[in-house]
Amino acid sequence: MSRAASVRFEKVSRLYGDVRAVNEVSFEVQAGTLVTLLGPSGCGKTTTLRLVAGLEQASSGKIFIGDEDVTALGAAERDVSMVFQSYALFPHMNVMDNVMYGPLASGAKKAEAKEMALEKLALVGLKGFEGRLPSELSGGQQQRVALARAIVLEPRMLLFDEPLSNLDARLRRKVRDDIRDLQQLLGLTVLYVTHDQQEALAVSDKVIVMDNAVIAQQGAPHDLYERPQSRFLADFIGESNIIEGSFSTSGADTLFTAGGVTLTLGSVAFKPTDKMIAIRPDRLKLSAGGDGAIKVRRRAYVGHAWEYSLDTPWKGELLAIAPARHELVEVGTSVALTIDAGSAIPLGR
Amino acid sequence: MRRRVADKGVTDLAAAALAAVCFAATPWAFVGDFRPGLWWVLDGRWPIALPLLATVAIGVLAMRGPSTGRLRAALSGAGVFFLLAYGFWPGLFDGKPPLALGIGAAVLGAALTFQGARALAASGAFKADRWVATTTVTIFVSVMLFVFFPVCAALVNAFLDRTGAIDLPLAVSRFTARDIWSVACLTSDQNCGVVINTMWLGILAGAFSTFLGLAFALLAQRGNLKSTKIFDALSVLPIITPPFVIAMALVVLFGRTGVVTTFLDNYAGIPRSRWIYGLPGVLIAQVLSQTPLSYMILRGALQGISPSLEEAAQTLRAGRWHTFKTVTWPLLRPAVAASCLLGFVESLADFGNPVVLGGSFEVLSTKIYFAVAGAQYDPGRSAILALILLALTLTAFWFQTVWLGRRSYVTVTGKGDNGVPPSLPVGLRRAAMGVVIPWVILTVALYGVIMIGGFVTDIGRGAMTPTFKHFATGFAIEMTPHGLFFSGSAWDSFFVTVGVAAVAAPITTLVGILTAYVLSRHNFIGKRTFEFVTMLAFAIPGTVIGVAYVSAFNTPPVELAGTGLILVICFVFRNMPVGVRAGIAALSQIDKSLDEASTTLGASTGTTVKRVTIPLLKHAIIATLVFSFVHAMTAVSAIVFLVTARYNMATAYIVGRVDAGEYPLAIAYSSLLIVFMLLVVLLIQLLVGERKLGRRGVAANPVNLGAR
Repeated sequence: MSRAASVRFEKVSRLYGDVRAVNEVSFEVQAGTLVTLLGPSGCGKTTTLRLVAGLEQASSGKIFIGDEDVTALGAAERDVSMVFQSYALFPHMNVMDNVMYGPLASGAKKAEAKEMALEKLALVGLKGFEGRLPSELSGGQQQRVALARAIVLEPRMLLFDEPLSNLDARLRRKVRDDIRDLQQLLGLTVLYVTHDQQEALAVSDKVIVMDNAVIAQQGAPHDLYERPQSRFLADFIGESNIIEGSFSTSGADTLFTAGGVTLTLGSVAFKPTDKMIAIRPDRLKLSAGGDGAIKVRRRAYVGHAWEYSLDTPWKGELLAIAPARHELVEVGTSVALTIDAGSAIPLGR
Repeated sequence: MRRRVADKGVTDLAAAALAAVCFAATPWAFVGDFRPGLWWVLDGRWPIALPLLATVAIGVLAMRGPSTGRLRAALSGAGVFFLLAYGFWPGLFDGKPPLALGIGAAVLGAALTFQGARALAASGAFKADRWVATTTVTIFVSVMLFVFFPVCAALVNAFLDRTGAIDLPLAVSRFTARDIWSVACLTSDQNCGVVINTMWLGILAGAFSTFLGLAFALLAQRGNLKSTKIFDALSVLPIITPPFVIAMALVVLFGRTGVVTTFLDNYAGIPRSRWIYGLPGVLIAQVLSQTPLSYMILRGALQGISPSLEEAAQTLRAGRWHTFKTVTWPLLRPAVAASCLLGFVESLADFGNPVVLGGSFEVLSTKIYFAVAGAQYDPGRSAILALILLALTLTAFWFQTVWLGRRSYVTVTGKGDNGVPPSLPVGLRRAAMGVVIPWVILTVALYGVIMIGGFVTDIGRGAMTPTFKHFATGFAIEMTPHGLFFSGSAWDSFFVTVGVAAVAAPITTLVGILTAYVLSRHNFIGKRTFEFVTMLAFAIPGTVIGVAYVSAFNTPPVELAGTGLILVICFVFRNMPVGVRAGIAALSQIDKSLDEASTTLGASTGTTVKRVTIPLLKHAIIATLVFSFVHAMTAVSAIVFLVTARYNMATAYIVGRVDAGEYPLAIAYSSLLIVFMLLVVLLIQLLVGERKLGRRGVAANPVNLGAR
């Protein structure tokens, strides 16, 4: 079908009084891709989404859908559909009427609207539920009705505002995969807001991380995880140990010194401005031994692994994740650390 | 797939065409004159053609797209201004006397307003939403015309002498009159000034009704009673009881020849007296009608206090008394203050009780009335009194919104809370019972008097012979060769009342709910002013509105006095704020994302309102309908100024009967009204209830209806 269009933000800001909710944000969503807006609460990601929908008006900057400048258009004129966090199903209408709402509001004949609605309901697996009221559906079913209602008009662009936040953990993974499948099947352009980094990594073609009303970093999921550009990113996506210290070189190896302890990083390129490293907990190997500077404070069994918290001579603890089957180290024991060569990420800020 | 709805300007042109047709074919002036605007223009009144030219010009300009928006808005403003200016001071233009504006002029004004609103939207105001613009501007203009203008026009009288010239010394002497401010009653047995009386009565009424309401609420919520049905029944009664009915019943029981007075005189040796006339009687009557409202406020507040707070206190070793003192009561305080303030305001606005029971005890509302309706007709005096009353209620209103608005602790989170509220401390429960039981007995006795009184010769004098003659006087129906003839003396006022209430109720609801929708769902420049102006009608006491309407609408250009229309308009703008309140409350329960979902699906604002908002607001709409209907039937304060022999209202008729000492007929009529309104309320509840069942029916067989 593909009516899918790209979206482009050019230095878009949204002000509430003096507060900048979105500050000169520029990005592009390619047609037919799924892009997530990820960030902590209050970072401006939902406002950005509502700017695309036309539910908020930009204070400055331009918004394009396809080649059309839609900055001044209202929500009803943008040809963009949205799945709301609360689903926003009309409680006084049954499933059929909810899904038919869009076509009817756009002037379709009743029979035509019904046909369109039935097709999309079948697509989300809700055939036979047409006469139910939203209150008679489970959370997952309501979610799918909201989805059917949003895609029934075959919009240029589909927006999701934290669509999984009202579902339990088990269902979340399934619905997440369903959304991705549907997006691929219909070739939709999707912009997706979430604060759950795992969800973002799992479904997206591209992730845009926002912090404090600006874009902190954008890129493919793998890129963001492996090459975060700031302490915020390293912390926010996946878990990281951040250690502040100084770099030096010894032959081919890069050394890092913090709190009087020197760590060997393998071959890592660092800049003169870098003053810390981020290390993923699963890239740390520990074994009994060492000189007593680093000791096991506590350990916890989490099923597929053991998590060790280590006392360190620098500020803060160190988290290390060891496979379920390894030689256990007792609490209070001094340990020696090895870092997987090349896995530490030097950071400047 | 989607249509874009662009403004083609056809609507504006159609409005202009309608105005032109009405200009040529319908009466321009009001009452008894059928000459259209065109005739008047040919007769030399050329200025009335100018606004018509403006509306036609706007219609033509609108066809050229939104770029002409600013010009059109300016033209519309100029047209309206000119229409009004000529209406008030035609002498400035062509030296002819003022004309009362009629259908032709009204349609022209409406067309200009409508076009003006759309022009504002076209030039970017109201977020370019034509629907919101039209709704807001129309409501704003009507409120200005029917609330703001008459009140100002009437209050100006305070500064004018009898010839209409400004006379400030006279205004000052009116304002400082002894019978307004005197505090003589504190030191001697003379009467106090009317402001002192009014304030004192208001404070007492607020305090007592809150005290009683609190006792009822505590018992209902925490008293471990088997059933609170009687409380709920009692709380419905004042809504369907005209305000002076309680006063009448009090006279029947405690007046000089009253049932209880006679009994005490005969058996307890307490001599007959007229104690009921004056402050005590008015106070009891007001507290009786206000207590149920206090009860509902305080019960709501008690329900809003999460039981888990009190449970937490108890698990921290606090006893029942300590829990009540340290947790329940502090959380309840804002509601107690709100209830006191409401009681105060209601007492200030009350007219029916003081007029029946006041005797020589004068309050502002009755004094205003007698300054206009009495032997010494003095609009200046009534205006200064109205000004004082308005200042008092506005202060209270301001206090309520500013102070209480911030101090409400009670929040509805929507989260389930399955705690069980603790019961009252034993001593407190006994005290509450001791207050509540006599009060319930008194209330039942008073309503008993009303229900029986119509069927006996003269209950006020203890003559208890059963008879139907009062109903026969008021409500006789005769069979004549031409069909039924309603010969009873009360029928006319009854039909007018029901008719006016039935016309006013849907309009009130429409205006109120639309206002609520615009206020709670849309943001635009000037919203605060709009909100203030619409809520202003709430704060203005009925007596002030009544005075304002008689003095402003008695002369051209808006001459409505003596018509049924003025009654309808009065009710619409008196009761509209209740619709606004109900609508805002209901809308705050409905997630805004529902509107947004509708918008992103391509629906215009109008469609969203029609298909999503209104169906979800059904209950608020019905509640407003019922309220405005019932209130139009029971109101008395504004109405006594506006009724005429042709358009008499039930309440004004009854007050007239009380004035003439015909208590039995007044009581018979009151009981009929109460029963009629009870039936209406029950009928509507029944209809609403059935619809609910219908929906559950849909839920029960989804498969059948899915194939529909």
